[in-house]
Amino acid sequence: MDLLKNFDKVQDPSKLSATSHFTNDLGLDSLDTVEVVMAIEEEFSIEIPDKEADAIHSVNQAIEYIMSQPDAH
Amino acid sequence: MPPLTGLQREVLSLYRRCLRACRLKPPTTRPNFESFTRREFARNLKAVDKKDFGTIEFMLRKGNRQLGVYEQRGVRDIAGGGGRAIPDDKHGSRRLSPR
Repeated sequence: MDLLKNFDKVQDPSKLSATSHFTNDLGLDSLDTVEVVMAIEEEFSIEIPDKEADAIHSVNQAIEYIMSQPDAH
Repeated sequence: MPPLTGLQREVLSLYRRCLRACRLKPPTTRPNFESFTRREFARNLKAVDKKDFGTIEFMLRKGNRQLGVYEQRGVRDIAGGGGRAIPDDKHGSRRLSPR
């Protein structure tokens, strides 16, 4: 998840781990979360529908989603 | 985080659609569109009361309309500071000025 390390709004990079919650641990608001999910889309060349994107609130959930996508790379 | 309300989801969906539209812009001007999008949402986030649903619905409609105009292929660049879109000469000199 190097992607998040570079995301400028992450307030406290030391809190970033595989289990970080975007809002509670990283201090991101809902718009930032949208940006993170969009960046993931570009990084892995996938398209995440709104419904699923709204359900991603943590690094864990993001990884789970990416893993469940067969054409993610 | 509490579940999002329908209105919140609509705002996030508009934000997502705006950022997706940015991807279709020329690589050189795409950052301008992205910073415009971020600035507009951040600005209204501060300016509008969270409970003022009427205003939020109005802003949503306005945003949707604005997206419809700016996602046209003729709009190739957008000003970084003032927020006025720059029309493409080939497609006539449309003037676009967001209020």
